[in-house]
Amino acid sequence: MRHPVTLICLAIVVAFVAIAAFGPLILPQDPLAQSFIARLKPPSAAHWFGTDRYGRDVFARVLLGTRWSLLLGLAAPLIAGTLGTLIGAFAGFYGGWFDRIAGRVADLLMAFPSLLLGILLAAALGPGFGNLIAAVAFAFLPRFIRVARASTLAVRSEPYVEASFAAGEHPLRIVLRHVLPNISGPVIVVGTLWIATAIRIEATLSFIGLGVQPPAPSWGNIIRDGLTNILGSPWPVVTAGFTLTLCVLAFNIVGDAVRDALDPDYRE
Amino acid sequence: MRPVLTASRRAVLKAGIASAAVAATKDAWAAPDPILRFGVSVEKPASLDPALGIQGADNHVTRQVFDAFVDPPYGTFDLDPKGLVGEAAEAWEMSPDSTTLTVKLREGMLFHKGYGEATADDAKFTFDRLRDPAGGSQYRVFYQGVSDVTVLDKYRFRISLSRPDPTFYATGMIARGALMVSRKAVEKLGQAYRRTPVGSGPFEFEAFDNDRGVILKPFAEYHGAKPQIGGIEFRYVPDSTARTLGFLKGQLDIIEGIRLPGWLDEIHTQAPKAKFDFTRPGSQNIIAFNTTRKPFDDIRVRRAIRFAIDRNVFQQAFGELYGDIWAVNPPEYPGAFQKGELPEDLQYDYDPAKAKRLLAEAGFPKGFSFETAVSAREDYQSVMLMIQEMLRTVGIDMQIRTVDHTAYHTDNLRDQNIFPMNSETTAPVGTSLLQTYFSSANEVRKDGKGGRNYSHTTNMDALINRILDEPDLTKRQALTREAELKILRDMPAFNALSLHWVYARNARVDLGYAIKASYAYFTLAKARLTA
Repeated sequence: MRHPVTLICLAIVVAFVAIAAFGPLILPQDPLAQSFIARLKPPSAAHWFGTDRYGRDVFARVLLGTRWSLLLGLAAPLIAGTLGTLIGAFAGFYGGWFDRIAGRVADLLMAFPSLLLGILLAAALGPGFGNLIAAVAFAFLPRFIRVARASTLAVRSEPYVEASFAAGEHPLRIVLRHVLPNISGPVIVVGTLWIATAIRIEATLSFIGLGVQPPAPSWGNIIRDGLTNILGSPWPVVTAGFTLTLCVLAFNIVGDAVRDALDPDYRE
Repeated sequence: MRPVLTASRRAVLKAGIASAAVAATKDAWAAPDPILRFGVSVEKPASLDPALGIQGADNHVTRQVFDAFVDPPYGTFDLDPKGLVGEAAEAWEMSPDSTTLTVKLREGMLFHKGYGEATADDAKFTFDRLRDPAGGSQYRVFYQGVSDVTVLDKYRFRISLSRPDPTFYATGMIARGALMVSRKAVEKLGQAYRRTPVGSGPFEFEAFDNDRGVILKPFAEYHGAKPQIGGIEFRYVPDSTARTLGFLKGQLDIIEGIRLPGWLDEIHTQAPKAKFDFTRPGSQNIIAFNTTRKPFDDIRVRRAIRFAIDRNVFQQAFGELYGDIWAVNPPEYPGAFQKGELPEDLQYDYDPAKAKRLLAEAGFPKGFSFETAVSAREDYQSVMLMIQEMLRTVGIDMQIRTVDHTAYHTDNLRDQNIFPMNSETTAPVGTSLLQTYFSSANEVRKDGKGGRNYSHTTNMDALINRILDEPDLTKRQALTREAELKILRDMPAFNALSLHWVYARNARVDLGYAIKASYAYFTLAKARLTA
């Protein structure tokens, strides 16, 4: 965790979170305002990242896009993590038919790559940010079910759980008080690692028109909009693409560091 | 045992040099690729049956496979009856009272794939399909005045009109729906006819391939001049960037241009030798208010939105692709309103203050919000994005839901949208847009078998009927202007702008004629390919 690269990436993550939280308050220009006199302009003092084909300020759009990307990047793993952990923990703890069904459903969903599952669900639910979160969260669900279930199976045979049984504690109370806190480490690791993936999937779905709807900016739809004019004015694609790459890279490296810190298998 | 290398290194080197030389010579002397590749902007063909077209891109295919009865001289929209070009029709004559059109077909004209000679019975079948209310043709509205189609002999037929229509040849006989089908083929193939069209045009349908798109080959027994190219592949490339790059790399010879701000300038820079074909006046971008739904049942809201839309923004954005519209018909149409001819309050010059006042009067002092579907096709997207931004300035939050272009039109035709837009090229006849978008006979229906009167306008019929009953062209034009004024007052729908179609063409393609005006599609019968 003290590695310089990790610390730099952590700072970048903190900066992105701050931009997502407060960026809209300090927007230099209206990210939706069109001006056809100033369309497809290169970077300048007035427009740091240039303008798109509608004359909109790309810097303001990238700044506002941070909010959408991070909102999904955090919300989807959080929702999937909460639901998946509960399902996995109960499946692992109680076993029986619930475990078999949850296990098979998770296996079935794991057969699809997350991106493909996200696209399928987003297409079925229709475009829109709420639907996008639901689609990505659902695509991530089986990963959390599996991790939570496997961790629960390990925890279930621990002496403190057996002691709770012997003391006559209600099974539900055992799950909530003893199992969940003790499986939280691996679940947090998985959640951290999947934030970057969620940001990437959001960008992909917005790129193909299934995510954030216009005129709201997201890194994916800024890249999409910029592609048609990429030969003459590459700035929207380059700047939004670089921002996306930087964000995904930072979250991945921080995620790895969290894994190293929390997962005993990776601890040196 | 190791294989024995019998040839020396020097021999291999010589052979290599020789084959490279052969290859180079072959390359240098190779005949030009005989196939013309045309990139269209949709995902896949929807219907190649000319009577049942859903999306404009399919017209590119049907125009090559089928013969129109008559058409304006290629590359023009000149509908002077004396100058028309006969395709399936060899001769035609309108009765002096404009109620009967007698047509003689060319003799010996064959349908593709062995479906035999085209006869007057096929022609009758073609028109009967187009006007059949159960048939679901989008062009039905242009055949409502047809009372009967009679076969006179093997090659001659008569179209009887229930009222005089001196412009029938321009609306009902040209390559806009009036493409002659083979009765035998339609009856034999049924639904499959939409995917395997059989016509009598210069090119015949060969196959549909996921990679190569719709493949057409020259029809060896075509009645006219034989095509000079080896075939056409209509490639389906909905992604505008992929289409542009395909053109710049020479993989596509002609592409449907991308009507986006800045695109034309970019191609000019990247491919200085490329040719551009503009079809003027181009698409009329009709945007309808679904008046059966709130708040668009309130005329003040509809007028407010019209006042909030700034023509100058479109002009700045689209540059040379843009054409002004003052009323319903574009100024290029005979008799249409020109700039300054309208009463001041019906000019709908940009006036956001007035828009806000009207919204306040309608009970929306702070504006309102609504959601509308918008096609993913780039011109629809950009027009609606601009409108979205203009409406935002008067407090209206228009939320966009992007959908695939084919699905968008299907949904619109099922009355699913509150603010649908239709981009369409019509023949320059004043009644075309009126009949299509404002006649109750063409009112949109939930079952999808209605038409494109998306606004549910029902109060224009009397006036439209008066126009259609009027045999005198000058009086027709005066009545058409009266109808346009009524539409501007009631504002059930409006023509936001003309957007000329643009096609980028590789310099190796010679169309055989210059395009000055046209529908959004054109014949490739005279095309030639050079090296």
